[in-house]
Amino acid sequence: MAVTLQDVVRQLNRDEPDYVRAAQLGPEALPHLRQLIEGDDLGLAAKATYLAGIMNADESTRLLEIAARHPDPVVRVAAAASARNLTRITASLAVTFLDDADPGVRKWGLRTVEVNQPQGIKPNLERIMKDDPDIGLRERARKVLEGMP
Amino acid sequence: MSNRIAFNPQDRFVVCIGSTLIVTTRNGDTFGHDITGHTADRFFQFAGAKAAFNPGDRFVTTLGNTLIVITQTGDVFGHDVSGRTIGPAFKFAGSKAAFNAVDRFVVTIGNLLIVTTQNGDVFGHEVSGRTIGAPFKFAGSKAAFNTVDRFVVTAGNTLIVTTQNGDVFGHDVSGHTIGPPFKFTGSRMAFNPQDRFVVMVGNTMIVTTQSGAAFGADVVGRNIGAIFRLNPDLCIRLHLKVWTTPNIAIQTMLTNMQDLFGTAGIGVVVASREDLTGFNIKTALRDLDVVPNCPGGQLTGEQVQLFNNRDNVGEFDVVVHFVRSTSPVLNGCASHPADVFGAVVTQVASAWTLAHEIGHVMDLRHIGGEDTNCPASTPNCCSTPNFSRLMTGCGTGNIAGTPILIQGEIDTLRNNSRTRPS
Repeated sequence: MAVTLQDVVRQLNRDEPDYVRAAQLGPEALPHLRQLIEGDDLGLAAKATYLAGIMNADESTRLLEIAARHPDPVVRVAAAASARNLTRITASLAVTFLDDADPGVRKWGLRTVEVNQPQGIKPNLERIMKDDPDIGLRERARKVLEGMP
Repeated sequence: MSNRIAFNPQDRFVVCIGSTLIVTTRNGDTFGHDITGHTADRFFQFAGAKAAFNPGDRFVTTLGNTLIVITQTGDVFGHDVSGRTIGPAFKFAGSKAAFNAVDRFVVTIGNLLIVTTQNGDVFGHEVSGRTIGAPFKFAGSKAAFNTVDRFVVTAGNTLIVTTQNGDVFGHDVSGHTIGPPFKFTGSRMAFNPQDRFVVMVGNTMIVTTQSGAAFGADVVGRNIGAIFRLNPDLCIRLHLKVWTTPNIAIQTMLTNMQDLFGTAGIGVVVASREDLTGFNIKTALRDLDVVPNCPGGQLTGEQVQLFNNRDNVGEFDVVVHFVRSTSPVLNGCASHPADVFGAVVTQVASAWTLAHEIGHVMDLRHIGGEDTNCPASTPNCCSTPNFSRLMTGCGTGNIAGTPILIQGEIDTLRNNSRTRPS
């Protein structure tokens, strides 16, 4: 049975969505997730972003790239956090997170690259380690760098 | 309790002037409770004259700042009320009023004294200064003639009749015409046998009981709002830690919670509010790492760190951290350490998320029956959601109006160690 937008919204409109169960909707949900990410409802956009990462499908990276450019940091944080669930993450997406103006996005970007280590991001990590206004993020970047191959 | 209302056997009439609920007694002493929102202050005794203490006094109502006492013989007396003082009695000139045996209820709208009778005919008297005008019969509908009609009050230009089963009917009064009856939507009112007096304070209908507990509901248009308990006997003390201002105002979430928990006789008190939105505050905790699905007792290091911010939090208090977001993305999460009770609420929370998460903290679970005939791939498909309940698992953002707590949930809340005597 085809997955409808309503099926997706029902999963995400909860106060506490169960993302593992929601991911059972399968790849047919991905076009609806894109619609929600690009829609006006901030909560649904953030939740759809998170679910896109959890699904870890071919289209997931594309959706997280869209979410990573969202004007609201709540959605960008969701993208940075959920990128941890992808099998691999492109350097360009990782850099988008690490260079974000919002410290919450950078925080979750650091966590993601700690798990899923793309090549070519060390200059961005070094910049955070040296110059980030958030002392906690500087320390986190140092630890991530130490763990990089 | 000192702020129980009209529970003494000798209490005889209950009326209202402004926001003060007035209780007259058989010996003529008169007491008041100032009503503010959902709270009735401790009683005070009016100074000045005694009122409505004669056995022949039959009806008491108010008109402006005047307490009006009507006797069995139809004589009408008044007492001007100034502050907390009852003025001396004076007798109205003009007509007698409400002296027929069939006269049943007496209320006022504007300067009209309105008398309803057992057969539903409604009569009026224009009151001018200290003179009662000649009686006239209202045109239009009959009113309040059913034997099950129990109380009659007024709100604005509407005559409101409550029945024994709690149904509430209204008649709009225009000039000297009674409009056709309509039934109010919303809550049923004053259907318990122990309900003793009904009075309107502003737009709030207040029902007092024999025990002195009082309940209220706001009347808006043709709808009776959720019933709340005036002066809850229990309360929850909340400490609000604001890391981020949510999209829906905290005050809105709080008022919703107060209204709903009030229906369980539980007040919600904000014991402290701490602003943590400043630039130099630990930004890492604003976007909080939480354990997926918020299982009880399982916390991430960040959750532990967050709940270590417990300034001013007493043993039985509840802390709410308003964070920007969680990962996974949630509206809220009720996981908390064993030694401090609380929840987080995120920027994208609904107007009911705060009450919902505190419900979880107080041991309420999601309601059952919302996932019927779901496909195996999505067993929690919310095919049959119930958005009239706070503890819906299908999203409090879908709740329209005020949800309910069922008796079992009320019992759970009231028996929780976090609820303390007011």
